[in-house]
Amino acid sequence: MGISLFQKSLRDMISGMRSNRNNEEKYIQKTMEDIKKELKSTDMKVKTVALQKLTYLNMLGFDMSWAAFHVVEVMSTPKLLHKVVGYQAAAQSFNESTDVMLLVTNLIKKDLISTNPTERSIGLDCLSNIVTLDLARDLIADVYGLLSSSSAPCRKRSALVLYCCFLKYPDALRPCFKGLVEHLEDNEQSVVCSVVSVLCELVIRHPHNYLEMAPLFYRLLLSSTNNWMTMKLLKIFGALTPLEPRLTKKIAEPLKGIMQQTMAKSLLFECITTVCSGMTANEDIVEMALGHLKDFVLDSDPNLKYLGFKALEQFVRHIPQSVLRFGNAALMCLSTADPTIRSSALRVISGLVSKKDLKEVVVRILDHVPAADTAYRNELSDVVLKICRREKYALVSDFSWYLNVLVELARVPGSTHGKEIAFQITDIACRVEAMREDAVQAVRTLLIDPSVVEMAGEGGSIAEVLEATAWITGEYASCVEHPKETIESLLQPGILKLPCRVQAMYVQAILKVFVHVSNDLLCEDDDDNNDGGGGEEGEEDVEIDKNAVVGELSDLITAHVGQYACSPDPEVVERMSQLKAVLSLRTGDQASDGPTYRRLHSIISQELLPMSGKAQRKVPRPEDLEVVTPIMEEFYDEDVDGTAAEHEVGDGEAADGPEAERAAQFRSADAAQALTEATDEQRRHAQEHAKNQLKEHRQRHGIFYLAGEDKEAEGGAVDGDDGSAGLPEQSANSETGSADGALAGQQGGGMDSAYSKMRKKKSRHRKKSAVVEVRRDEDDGMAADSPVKQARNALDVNPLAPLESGEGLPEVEAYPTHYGAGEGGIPTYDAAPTTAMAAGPEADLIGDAAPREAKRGKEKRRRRKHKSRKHQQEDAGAEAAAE
Amino acid sequence: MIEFILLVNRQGKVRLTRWYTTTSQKERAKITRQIVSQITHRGSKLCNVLEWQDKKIIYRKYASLYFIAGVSGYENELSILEALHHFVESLDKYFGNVCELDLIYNFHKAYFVLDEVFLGGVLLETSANVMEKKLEAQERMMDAAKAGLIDS
Repeated sequence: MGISLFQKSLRDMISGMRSNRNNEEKYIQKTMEDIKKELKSTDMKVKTVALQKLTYLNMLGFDMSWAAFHVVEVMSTPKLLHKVVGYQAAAQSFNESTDVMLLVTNLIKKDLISTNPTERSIGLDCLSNIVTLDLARDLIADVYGLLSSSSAPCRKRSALVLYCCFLKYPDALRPCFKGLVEHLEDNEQSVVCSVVSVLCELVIRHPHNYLEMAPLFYRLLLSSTNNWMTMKLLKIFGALTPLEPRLTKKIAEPLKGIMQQTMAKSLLFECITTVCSGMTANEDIVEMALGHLKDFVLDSDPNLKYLGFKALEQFVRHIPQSVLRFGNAALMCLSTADPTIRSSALRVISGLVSKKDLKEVVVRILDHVPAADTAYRNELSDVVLKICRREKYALVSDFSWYLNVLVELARVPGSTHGKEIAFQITDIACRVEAMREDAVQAVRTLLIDPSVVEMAGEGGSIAEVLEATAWITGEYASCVEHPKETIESLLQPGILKLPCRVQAMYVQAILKVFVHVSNDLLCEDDDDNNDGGGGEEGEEDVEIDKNAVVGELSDLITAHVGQYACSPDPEVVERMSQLKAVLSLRTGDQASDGPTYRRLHSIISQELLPMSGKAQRKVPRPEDLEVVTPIMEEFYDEDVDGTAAEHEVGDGEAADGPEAERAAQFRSADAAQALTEATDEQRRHAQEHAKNQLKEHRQRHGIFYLAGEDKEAEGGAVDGDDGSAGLPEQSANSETGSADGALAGQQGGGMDSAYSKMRKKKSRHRKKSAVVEVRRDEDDGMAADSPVKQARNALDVNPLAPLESGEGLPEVEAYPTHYGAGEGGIPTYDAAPTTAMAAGPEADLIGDAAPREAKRGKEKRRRRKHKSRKHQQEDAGAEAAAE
Repeated sequence: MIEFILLVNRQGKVRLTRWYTTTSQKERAKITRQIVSQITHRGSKLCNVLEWQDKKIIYRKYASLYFIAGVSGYENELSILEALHHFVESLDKYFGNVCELDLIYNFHKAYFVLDEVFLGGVLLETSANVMEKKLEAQERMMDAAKAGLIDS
């Protein structure tokens, strides 16, 4: 009991906090320690007071989750006074992660079935605040039971608590729903009201599910005398009418009645909201709502004004024509002090503006800029930029005017829209050819104004505008009227304070302007179709003067461009050096300078056209483009792949490239024919070519061939005999050829023409790869198992080997067309050769996984062969060395 | 629905809070800080609605206290203002010419009134008369309970 005597009451603690304002934290820390001690007390009164104090501190933001168990202790006391404090603390501090939640379930259950109305109500209140899925599941039956209690306040409360439970435990909604709806006919109006509130929340969440209840809501709307309930019902109809337009007709009359009669602004506003959410098709009611809305907008009460504009925003979205009359009111509101109203009014304006009144509206918006604070200024700029850019400048009819607006916006102090302004100026200059002169004129004011450069130097997004300015001046140098002035302004010392990116753009612009002017002046005789402009100063004068003008400009640039030399940015320095180099080309003699500048001019004068980011999509896809086919196959697919192969090999033997390419082309065409039609004559022809080709190759690359190889290789090529050992490359080729030939021999005919075409193509692949093969094998730079190598090996069939009549070539792909999922995504080359051979013929016909197997088999063999070949080569090399 | 109700004074000291959605203590402190700093800087002639994230913050100043409600986007601003006013009237009737100090020292009682007006984020009792009677009954019962407590 001792502690109780000295315990600070809630009032003491609050007074203490108020009197210790300077070191409140310390005081609270001490109080917290006391509370911790007091909570451990066995005296319920002490504990309760401590808990109450803790709840107060928790309200101020101090943690009390550690005291959850004490809360439950206090909650479970029989005395109502203590209990209330406990429930209060629980309602405030418990959440889903509170571990003692399980203990609460029974406590609340007891309260819900209690006969004491206060206990029931504090139980329900507490439950509504702390409900979790578990609590809802365990207690929903009791709450639902209270819905049929004899006490109206209890019914009312339980209806609302049911809603809280539904939120956590949606499954409960279905079984409880019927009982809930029954209470729409409750004798007590307040119970009906709370059930309507619950239904309103439910309908807003999922309006589809409640369409059938519309007649019920309609009856209630007609009979309702309570404004709160009417508002809820109107909200329900606001959610339902977009889904069921026929409802509009039905509720139009009652709505009109309410709008005419009611004095309550909130109800009136709810009616307006309902109209604009789904009844915009009904002109009568829209007209009436807009009539009331006018009062809202023109009202001096900022709340009504704000809400008026909010509703207008909705109307603008649906029926902008009907709202046009509010345009002026919205523009008037731009000068109000309330940022929320202003933003809303701006949104209304931007929805209402049309092509006709764009100029006026923009001017009126911009009128507010000087008096506005930075945030508002940016908001105003933003609106102007967005309105004008909308639908590819659909509203802008006078671009010359708009360019000046953009320049004006760029000068707005503290603007954050530099990027957008820069984009739009560049965009317009690029796209609208007729506007380029205006664009250059418009940006000139920015360019020559040192204060702008200074402003940009101090930060802010205007630097981005200057970047665009420099670009436009350089790119459209033909429109520059005063080159000297322009170059001077491009060389301002203030520019050094700008970001390096912008500096680089300035240097480049100088180059472009200078080259253009020089070209105009010095090359006039040759090019009468000059854009003029640039050469103004010296145009009609004698040559000497022209030369002097150029010289003057050149000296001017040379004198100043050095300022960039110390730039930390390599880009700036590089462009500066480039500029200097161009200047040094000048000899002072027009006869020699003229062609130089003409050539330079032709480099920079090519127009850069705007390119849509989606442009690539518009290019029709070539029919023969195979995106899915692995890239290496394409490598062989090209008709001129001789060159591709050369590049791929990259061993520097480019000398024989064109010849090999031509030969390959020639040969492949023939081989293809030979393989498909295989007449004797053609076969002979093919063989002859092959021989010639081989001979040629041997002559050129004799160093790679071993002595005595010649003859046998020829023999191998002719009869497809793979018995000739000791001939590394050729034997390899011929063996594959015969193997494939054997494979092909097993295949039946009956192939359609498309198929044979395909095979022609394939055979071409093989043919060419064989050519490459000759050199490939010496190429040790590539790993034996690299995909390129493997693919190549897979294809090195001897195409020169004649086929028997009716014999087809097997389909061999460099890679499977797609890596089947069943194969682990990436082709592996380990399949046993035997199965591959067996699968071969059949596979060719179905053209599925099996050919891959076959190929893999071959792959493996090839690899082995490659190794042995290598060995052989080495041996041969050793022999040769020994000789 | 109403997601939370906040009572703060001009200095931004919290006098009463009630959260109708699950929010952690940390989040609550953060939201309170942000909202209070915005509202206390608004001039008296500005409108009483703020758009904040996906919610609407509706507030009204009574004497030195701001009554703030954070509500879902679809709520009717004017009806919330009326509901807040209704709450203030109920407090006024319960305490008899309520002032900030009443709420500070009797925060638990203020909670009773709050729970009678709003439940689970929805306006519970709309009639001022019913409210008054109920609060009187509550007060009497609490007194009785207190007396009983002291007796024991």
